[in-house]
Amino acid sequence: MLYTPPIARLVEELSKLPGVGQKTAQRLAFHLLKIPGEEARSLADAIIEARERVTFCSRCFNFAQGELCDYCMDSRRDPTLVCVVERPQDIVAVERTGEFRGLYHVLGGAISPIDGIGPEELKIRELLERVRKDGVREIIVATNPRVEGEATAIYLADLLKPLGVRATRIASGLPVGGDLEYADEVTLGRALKGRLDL
Amino acid sequence: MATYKEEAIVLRAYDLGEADRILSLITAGRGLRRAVAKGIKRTRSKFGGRLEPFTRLHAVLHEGRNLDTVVQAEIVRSHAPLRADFAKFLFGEAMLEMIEKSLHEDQNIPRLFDALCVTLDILEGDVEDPALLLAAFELKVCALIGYHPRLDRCLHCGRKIEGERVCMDLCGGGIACDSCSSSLESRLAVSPENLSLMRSLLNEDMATIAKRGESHRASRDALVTAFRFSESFLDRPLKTRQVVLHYLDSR
Ligand SMILES: [Zn+2]
Ligand SMILES: [Zn+2]
Repeated sequence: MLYTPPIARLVEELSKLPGVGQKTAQRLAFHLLKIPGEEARSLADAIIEARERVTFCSRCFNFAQGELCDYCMDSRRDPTLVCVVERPQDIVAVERTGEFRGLYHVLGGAISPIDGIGPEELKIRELLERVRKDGVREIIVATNPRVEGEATAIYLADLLKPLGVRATRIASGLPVGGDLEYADEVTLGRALKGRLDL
Repeated sequence: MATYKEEAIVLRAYDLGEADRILSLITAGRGLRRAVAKGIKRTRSKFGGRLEPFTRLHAVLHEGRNLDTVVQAEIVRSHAPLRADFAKFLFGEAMLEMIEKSLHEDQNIPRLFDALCVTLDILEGDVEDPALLLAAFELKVCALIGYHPRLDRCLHCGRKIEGERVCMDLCGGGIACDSCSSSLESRLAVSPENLSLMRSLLNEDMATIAKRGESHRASRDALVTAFRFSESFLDRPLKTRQVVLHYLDSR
């Protein structure tokens, strides 16, 4: 590639971002060179500030700006009800429902043996520790409804049951607005299994 | 480019961008294929849960230059019990990885597809010790891809081995007697009990192995030997191996 070194470096750094290929990286680089200097600087500052000031909550491993995250510091939330998610962005999705008033626990991914990720690579020991220390009554496992998330949920259930804590799994089933006729047997099978009384 | 129909098993699914996923498939007639499932991560995707790992399906695929595209998928067997039991899932994933890593893209060994179908069906049911099933699977896959483990005679002097301590010659693909193994670079000590179990795992059919029970130690030793043996023929290490052994040690 025939760019001057600073542009080549920028393209290279941008192409390391998830979902950004060589072509997109070039387009972004040229865009950044075209916009006013202060806009570009503000982006650079935002990256540095986020990296320097954002930490992980020592209790739930969500993003935080200090020892604890906003949810863990909120005294109106129920600390005996914990929703387990794979990543911090999943918290945002659960919060948008407005249905949940407990705390969270971020595992940092899901068990995926084929990628070399076993239970030890996730914050599972820390979750069990919380259950013992914080008097947790119920754990809602909200890992993704795909094979790795399901396996993680089963693994957690096996560990949690002997501790006498209630472990529940978010229901999975038919998408709202969908059509029964087009549902696959795995999804429909799960929807039947998780049926509710009317 | 052409559209084709194949029976396939989903080995693995990688995320691609916001909504798509790349699937690694073993097909009955065309070996290992990679195909993109467009829009699968959207809640309203027509594929729904049809393209999860372990699923055996009738698929219609459109051939592409680098990647095929999944056009249609119907489930033959969802293998749901493999996702409802952690040990079955873990040992099953190790089998999927073994298949993925023993084939090059487009390379076709039809019996490999059949072996995986049979083994996953058995794993789904009552299995005394899934670790033994996995060890047997690894050895049998080695045999199918052309590295039949030679466990009867010493690879070097040809002497028949019975009830003695030997070494696995990891480069040679078999065993070496005590005197021949001293000069070997890559070897693994094998006890007489372990060797005898390995022979059974190689020769017995999967349904018989599913009913076998051994001590925890014997079954772990067999699995480690099978892992080491198969890894010596694969270009890439098996990532599931550490997770599997960790799990066995935590029991
Ligand atoms: Zn927190
Ligand atoms: Zn010899």
